[in-house]
Amino acid sequence: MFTELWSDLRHRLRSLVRRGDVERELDDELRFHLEREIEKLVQSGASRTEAERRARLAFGGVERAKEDARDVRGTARLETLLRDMRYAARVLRTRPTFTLAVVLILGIGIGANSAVFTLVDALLLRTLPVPHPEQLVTVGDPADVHSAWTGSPVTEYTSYPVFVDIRDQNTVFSDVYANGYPNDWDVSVNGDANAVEHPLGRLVSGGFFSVLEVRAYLGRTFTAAEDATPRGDPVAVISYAYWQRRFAGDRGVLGRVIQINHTPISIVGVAPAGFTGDIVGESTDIWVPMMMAPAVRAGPPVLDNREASWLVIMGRLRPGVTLTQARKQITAIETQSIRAHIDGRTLTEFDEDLRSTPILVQSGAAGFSSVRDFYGSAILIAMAAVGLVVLVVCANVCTLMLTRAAARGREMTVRMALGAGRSRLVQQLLTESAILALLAALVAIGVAAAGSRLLIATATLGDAPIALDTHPDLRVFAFTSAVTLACVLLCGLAPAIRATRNDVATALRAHSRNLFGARGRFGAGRALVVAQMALTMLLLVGGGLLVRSMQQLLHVELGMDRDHVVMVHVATARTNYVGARLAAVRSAFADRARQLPGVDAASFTLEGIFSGGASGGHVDVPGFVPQADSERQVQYDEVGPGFFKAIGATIVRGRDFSASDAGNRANIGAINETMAKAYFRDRDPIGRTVTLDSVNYTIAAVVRDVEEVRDLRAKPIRRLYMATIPPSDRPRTFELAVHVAGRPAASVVEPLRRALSSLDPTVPFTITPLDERIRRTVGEELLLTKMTVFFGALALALAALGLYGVTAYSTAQRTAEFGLRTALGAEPGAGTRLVVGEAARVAILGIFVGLPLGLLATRLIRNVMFGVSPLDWPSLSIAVAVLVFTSLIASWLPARRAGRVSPIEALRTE
Amino acid sequence: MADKNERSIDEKLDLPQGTLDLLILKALSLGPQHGWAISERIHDVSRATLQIPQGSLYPALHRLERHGWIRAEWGASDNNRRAKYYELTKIGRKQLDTEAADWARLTAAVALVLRMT
Repeated sequence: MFTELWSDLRHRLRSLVRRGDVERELDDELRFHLEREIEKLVQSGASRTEAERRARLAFGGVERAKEDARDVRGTARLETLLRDMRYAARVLRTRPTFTLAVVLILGIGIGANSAVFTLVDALLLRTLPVPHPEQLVTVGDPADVHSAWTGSPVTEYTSYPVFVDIRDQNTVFSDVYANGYPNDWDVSVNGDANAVEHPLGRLVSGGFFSVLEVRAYLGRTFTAAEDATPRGDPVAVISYAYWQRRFAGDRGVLGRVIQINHTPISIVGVAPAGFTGDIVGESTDIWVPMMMAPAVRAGPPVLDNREASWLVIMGRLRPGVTLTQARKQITAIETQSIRAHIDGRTLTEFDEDLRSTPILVQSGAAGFSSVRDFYGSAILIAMAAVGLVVLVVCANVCTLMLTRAAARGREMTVRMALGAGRSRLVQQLLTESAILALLAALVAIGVAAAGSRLLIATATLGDAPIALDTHPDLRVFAFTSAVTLACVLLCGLAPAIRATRNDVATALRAHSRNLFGARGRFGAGRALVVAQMALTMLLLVGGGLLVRSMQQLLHVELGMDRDHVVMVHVATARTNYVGARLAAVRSAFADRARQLPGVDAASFTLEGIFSGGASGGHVDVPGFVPQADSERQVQYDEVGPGFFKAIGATIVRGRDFSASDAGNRANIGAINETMAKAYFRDRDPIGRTVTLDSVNYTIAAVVRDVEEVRDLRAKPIRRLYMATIPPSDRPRTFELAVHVAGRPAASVVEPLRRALSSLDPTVPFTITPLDERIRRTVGEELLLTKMTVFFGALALALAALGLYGVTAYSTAQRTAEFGLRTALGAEPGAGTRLVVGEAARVAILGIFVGLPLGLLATRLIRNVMFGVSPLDWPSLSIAVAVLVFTSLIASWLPARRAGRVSPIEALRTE
Repeated sequence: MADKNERSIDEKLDLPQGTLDLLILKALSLGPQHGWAISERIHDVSRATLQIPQGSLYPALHRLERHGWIRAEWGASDNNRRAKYYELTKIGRKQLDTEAADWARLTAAVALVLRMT
């Protein structure tokens, strides 16, 4: 059996590799046979000529015998394929522009689609790389991985005592853990306090690794004992990536002691490669047991504090327990755990909130992610946009292939006349299309890889890059390739179908009579161009609306001088500045900044502007009777002297805070217009008092509303500013607002950095122009706008190309017609106008189809639009104008020829 | 001779499907031969009843070679010209035995049926 197989293989290989030798041997063998036969016949008395005739007769067809012998080799199909490929390569080389256009269009289309889908997959679809991710369940909002709240308990994220209740009382999870953001870490690897780094760390409870079923690659993970004593076990597990990056994969890393916020912590394990934690889009570097929170987490104590909510929770379902059962039990435990420790109005409000927003208990297979929440809808919309582009790509390639098919009609007819079978022609054309698709796939791989990286770079707003696995997704690559390949193949077959539809004689005659013959025959091509125009219109409408919305967002009146303010975040929370010394350092920083050239005001604030932080509370105002508890809620901030000038806010009545307001016990306050209107209506608030946490504040000023929150679309908020009071002994951060006059804000960043560093080099700070901070808050919209505009432009370019191709083709086909027109006395240019007019009709038809589609599609982006109605005439008319203009250019270029055809030239083409 | 040849075309038997391989293997069992000689040998031995269509001889030879039942070698012919000689291999010989036995059983069975009255 084996020998037979081997002989078979050797035989086939030899036939394939040494094809020339094998053919020659076959010739020799057959010739020898014929000669012997002839000799025999001659010897028996036949004449030489007669002998040759009879020998051939007895043999049968020599070529037939050869063909049979070749078939026996088992390589005939392969040989035909190779021949077809050689022929196809030759054909494609003779039309480099066509080949290049198809390859690039397909490549970019497939690549862009793969790139966007790779992100969709990484962000929205992919499950955590742990065993049985489908058993995981999250409690709370999986986007709230950086949230922290001190005050009455919330349910989006929980306090440690509530987590302990869930952990100890539930019967639905085999195990459960909590994960909390430890605020920024200063990590010193070498013990040098000045060389601090900022890897991403998380505080996790003891069950973290066992719930996720992740084993240590090196060393060990956390033990149950490490989940028991506060400050008891200063240990850490680091990620494989951090180990490689920071410790160069040194196995001696185990037992090494690093400083996290000045606390020595020893590394006990390295997580396996590929495990970047449970937060998608953010690669965790260091995990430290929850019990170390008092030592390494800046802020209020958390382990026994029911007011501090900051944890998201993940559990693994016991076998046989359903998500619904888990949801029911966990909701009950958490509700009970919170309600048992609150009373009065807090309890009423909690119950009300719970009715409107139930506790989230859902599948945790895809892990936690704040990036997913921030960008999810943008990426889905981008997916829709890129899907449209792929449709345009298909239509476009079809147009090109059809144009080409029409041009090759004669070739096909002639080949059929010469006896080529339909199946041979089909196989030949399929080979050509397949080669095109193969080249396109190569281009697409490059585009997909570069595209994913570009998208992530565009989406990254802060310093920490979004960590996502951007290996091009093979499934989507295969899917997109298959779709486009199918379209290439179908369209590529058109010449064969066209050629074999009619009988050869009619087809040959049709091709030799071109006069007026081409008119109306290219219906399919025109329809495809209309489709491209319509899809492009759709994208342009969406893109236009987003651009307009973006402009509104970026230039919305915020009540402050956004272009001339620089914000400095000063991280005094991790220094030993407290109390009076903290007050002194705040003033010193503001004073130093104020001395810089170009700076005309500087002050400080505890919460900052667009910093993401905010404090809220309930106020009582004499003479105001609240109808509901929510009417008493205000946001507040403590600010320094000259603060309103420093941020460029407008004081409607009263005066800015002065140095004498700070620190005295008079408790001076200022309120915004929304708060003044809500509590005082027409009365003058100046000199009146509001009470917050039993402290009375005398109102010294009313300021125009300043939007300080992250969400620009939020409703105006009642806001109270207090002149700073002496700080407590608790460390905390502050922010500096620096106002620049007569020059760009960015120009003072460097001088400011130098000036502030000289004050106290141990205090870490970051400087950001206010405008940049504001832009970061609209990152999703910005990314979405950039992508839609990009894809719109891409579609426009493709559609223009399609129109150009069709127009050029039909102009060339109608050379005879135009020559005749000229001969009959048509004025020069009439032909051009005719062709451009036809192209314009195609474009306008596309617009009429695309416009309603585009308006329908705005529903998709309605919730990211700001200050623009879906029927926004400026952006709609610009979209229409752009499309019409592009169409005219795309058709005019090839149409110029139509007006210049001379009758002689027309005759020559016959 | 020529006349006899042309007449014999009418009397010639069509080869049943698959028997060409058996005949070639049998012809080669007597010693290495080139294609023309094989066709002559079968022709002569069958007393001119079996006329192999010469055109189909070579595809059959190449198929058998691919199976490894025969092997080919170029050598000098009796009149000193280059010819391709075929030779039975060890498994070819085994194949011949199997096929010959099968054939005997088949013809015996068919004969038996035909004797039925």
